[in-house]
Amino acid sequence: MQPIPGFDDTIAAISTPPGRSAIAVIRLTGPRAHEIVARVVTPWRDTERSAYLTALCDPVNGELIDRPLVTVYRGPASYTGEDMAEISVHGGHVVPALALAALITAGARIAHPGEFTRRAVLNGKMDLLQAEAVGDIIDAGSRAMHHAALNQLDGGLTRRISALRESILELEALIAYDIDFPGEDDGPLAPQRIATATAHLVGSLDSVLATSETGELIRGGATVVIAGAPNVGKSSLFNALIGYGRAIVTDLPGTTRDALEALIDVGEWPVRLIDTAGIHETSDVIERLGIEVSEQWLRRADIVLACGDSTELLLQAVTQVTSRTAAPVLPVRTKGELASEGASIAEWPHPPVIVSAHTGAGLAELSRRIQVELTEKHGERVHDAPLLTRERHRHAVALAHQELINFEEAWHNGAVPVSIAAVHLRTATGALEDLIGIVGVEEVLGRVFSSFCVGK
Amino acid sequence: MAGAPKSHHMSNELDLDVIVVGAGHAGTEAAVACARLGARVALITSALETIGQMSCNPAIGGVAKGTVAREVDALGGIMGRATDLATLQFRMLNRSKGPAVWAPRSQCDRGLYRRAVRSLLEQHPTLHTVQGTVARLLMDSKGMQVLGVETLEGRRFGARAVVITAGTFLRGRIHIGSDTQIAGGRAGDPPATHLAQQLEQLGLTVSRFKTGTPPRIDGRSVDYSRLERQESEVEAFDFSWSHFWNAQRRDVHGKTRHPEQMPCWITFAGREVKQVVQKNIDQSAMYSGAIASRGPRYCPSIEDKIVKFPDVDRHQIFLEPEGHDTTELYVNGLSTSLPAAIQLEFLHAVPGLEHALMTRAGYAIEYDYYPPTQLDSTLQVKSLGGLFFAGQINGTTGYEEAAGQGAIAGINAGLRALGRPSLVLGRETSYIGVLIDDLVTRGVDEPYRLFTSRSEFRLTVRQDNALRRLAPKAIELGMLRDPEVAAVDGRLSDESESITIARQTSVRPSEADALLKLAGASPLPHAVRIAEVAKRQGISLSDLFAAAGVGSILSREAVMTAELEIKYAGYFERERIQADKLRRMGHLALDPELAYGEMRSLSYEARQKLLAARPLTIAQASRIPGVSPSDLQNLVLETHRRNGLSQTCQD
Repeated sequence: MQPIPGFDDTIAAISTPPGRSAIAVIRLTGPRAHEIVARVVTPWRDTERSAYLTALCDPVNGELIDRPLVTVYRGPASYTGEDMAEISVHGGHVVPALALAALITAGARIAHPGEFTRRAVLNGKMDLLQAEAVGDIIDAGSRAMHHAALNQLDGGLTRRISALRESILELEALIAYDIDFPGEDDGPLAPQRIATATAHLVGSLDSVLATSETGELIRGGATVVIAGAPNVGKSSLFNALIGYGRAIVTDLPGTTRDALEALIDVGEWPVRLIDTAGIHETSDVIERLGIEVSEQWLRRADIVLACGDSTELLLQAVTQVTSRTAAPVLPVRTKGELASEGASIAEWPHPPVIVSAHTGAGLAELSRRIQVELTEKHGERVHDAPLLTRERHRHAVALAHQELINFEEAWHNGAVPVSIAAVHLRTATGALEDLIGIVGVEEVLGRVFSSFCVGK
Repeated sequence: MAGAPKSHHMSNELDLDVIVVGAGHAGTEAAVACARLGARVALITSALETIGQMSCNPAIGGVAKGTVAREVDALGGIMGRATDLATLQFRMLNRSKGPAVWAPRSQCDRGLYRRAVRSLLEQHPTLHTVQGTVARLLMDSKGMQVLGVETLEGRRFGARAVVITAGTFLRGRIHIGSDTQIAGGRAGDPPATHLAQQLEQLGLTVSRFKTGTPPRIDGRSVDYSRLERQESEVEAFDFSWSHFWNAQRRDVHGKTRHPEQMPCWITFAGREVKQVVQKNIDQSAMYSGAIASRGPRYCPSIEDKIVKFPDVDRHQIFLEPEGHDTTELYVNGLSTSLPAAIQLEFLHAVPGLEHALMTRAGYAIEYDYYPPTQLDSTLQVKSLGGLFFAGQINGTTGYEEAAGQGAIAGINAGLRALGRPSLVLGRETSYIGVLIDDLVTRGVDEPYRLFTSRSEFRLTVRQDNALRRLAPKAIELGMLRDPEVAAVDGRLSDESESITIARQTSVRPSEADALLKLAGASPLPHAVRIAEVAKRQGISLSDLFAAAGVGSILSREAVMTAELEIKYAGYFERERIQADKLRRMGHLALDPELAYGEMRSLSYEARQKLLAARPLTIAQASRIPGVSPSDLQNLVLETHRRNGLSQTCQD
């Protein structure tokens, strides 16, 4: 645990991942950023926003460390709103570390995770939801996630939530008006007005809440599980789909050991593709059924691709999988280049997709079928509509939604006067305020930044 | 130096702890509060006969205002007692909206009210009343500390603190139509100009507001057959707890202390009135440009109503009796600054008033006020030690708002004079707390009136529990006498006992079924705790007590409060949790010297507003208009950073 670092100090971090690379970027922000860089590079130029080549030396013994490119930013026109510098050094394990050490010696402090963005928030460069979006953009594993995060960075979600909060406040104001002006000309407040306004709000919150399912899907990807007997070509299908879907991540963090995973884009949808093929270490595998997939994956699947390289094996896979999952099952006739029964299986109630991992034939059709299933379940992807992508968001909106329903129930059957039931409205407003960071900001900030990487 | 005494050798006629200037609803409460603290206090007014004058409508109470009247009463004030002695019609507003928002209001006999106030003041041995017009404040040589006052008549009084409650008198100017302007603080009374000049020279920012009154008519000229009659509610209601303290319950000997009740009359301003006003709008002082200052949105003139709401066909008018000793009626709803002849013309267009004789013309009045962000939370002027402001001088409107400020300014002036720590009421404790917090942190851009919607604590801050909320503070400060303290304790323990009895006693089906049937509720399956049955809709706790034969000696008001606490416990608890949250936020102190100008994380507007208001807590900052949620966020973080308190950044 650390106290919130002050602005008075200048922080530095290597902003690129460690390891072999052509270049690595070191960032500094704070009041002494320029002064500190000036102490380690010769020549030093403070021309704003123009990169120049210089020499970076150890400030103690003057030994040359690297010849980097330096770019200088002057606050408030910078990411953090403070004076900043970016130093592009050569990559690898040694140079960036030596360069950072030189900057520390010259007076900088190593940044905490997310501290750059935290400073951007503190300096009024972005709000909380936007700061979260920065993290999400960095972590984006799919184009859909990237889109959603960009929208959030643009303030889309903040605007939507703020508008909802305003509407609840208006309803509160209506009730307050009725209490405060009992003798006015327009007479007592018609209960119908409250009922209509409430119903409208519940509906709006409902539709925002509904985006959380899509949001979650966007964040984690729809789980598509490949199942089938050994040696029917599941791994080939896995690899072919990765190639087809231009996988962005194939080494997902937190990957369980019983499956290979890849995050790919299937049309508009991010898909987490799971292949359990060839992995027999877990006892969970349904080997007695002759199917390589664990019960666990079948339960979590959004779609199951039941594979077989013959009609018999395909039928077997479909039958055995269908009884064990609630997800739609797509039959996939693998090794399509060898298929001879095309005509007969095309008459199945759910006609299998004939795919050749070898030639790529049928991959487009399979991709289309997956999209059809996902659209059926989650509706059309609406671009640029704000999404609730985090549990924190869903929780706050769900609470507000529940409070409005409580309000409706409390006063509508006359159990509680509307003046008292209005307490529910205030709780609902509070939940939304927490979300956009009006109160409880400390706690929220702590949570938001705890998941950040260093250097952002 | 502007405020320096002319002669250092002239001696003071009296040396006091506190001087209160002005004897309206703020001044009288301020003086009484000082006296109750044991301070020696002089109440100086230009005419002793007008102490406690109701300058506008003859009524005390209403939504939020009624609660303030009871809060002032719980602090030992006189507004509630005077109302009980002068009431001629009582109504509980919002009766249909649940007891949590009930709002008591009494029409009063102006003469009885005035006399009651003066005699209540004179019961305090350390309180002197002085007739005189204060010409200037006496200041120390540095001009930083108030030492007393000097009157136009040449009398000097020394004091450690001065409370100014000048109402609409500072440079007051009365407008009747666009051509008639009279210097005056109230119809028939001269304005105060010397003091106004000195206050401005002392460096205080001054601004102007306006307010208005309607014409009054002779009741003998009214055709009552065309009016709707509104009777007083039968149930007797007391604003003040003091009657219990004196053991003078209204039912003693079957006699009531309230004067005989009188009806009000309802009529309306319809199309014809609208035509008269529209035709003559250019002669209105407010619409011709003669008055530039802002008036209250919530108490609009008939010109305002007609110009701003042209589609409304009818505006309600209440004819309110001025007293038992006169037939004069106050025409509530027709506030105006049109010329007298036009006023008569539209009066005659009102059903029932076709032949009305106008006793007094309505008028608008413009007056100085001092933007209250120049005050701290004790209502002391930030830049001048010992100088306190209360009432309309702070840009508020309403008798009750004035009285609430008067009580707090008086208490703090007294405490300061006696060298004791000050008293600040939190928003969660009272409407007075909300009022003062709003004034000193947000300021005013129109005459400020209280509403329930200004408070976050509509349910827990109610008219029925003012005593529990504030009397303990008055007791702590030593403001209540022993028998009063005993009476407060008795009343509050009645309340606790009601809740205990309700929780511990069961009522049998045979006892409760008649009641339940009446309320349309299902009968009891077996004996059930009273507290459980009382949660049902339409079942009163006192009826249940009567049915079960318990709690008959408990005060009726105490049982009613207990009923609310039982019925809506969950809701009240929620509001209390919200209050706690706010209190925690309130405890996040802001350094008054904070360099807002340098905080780049705040918007430009927020920096300006925070520099002007210099809030003491985050909670106060949150209520300043122009300070956005994200400004607030950054302020919280900035504060944590400076205090080095936070531990949320995890490595």
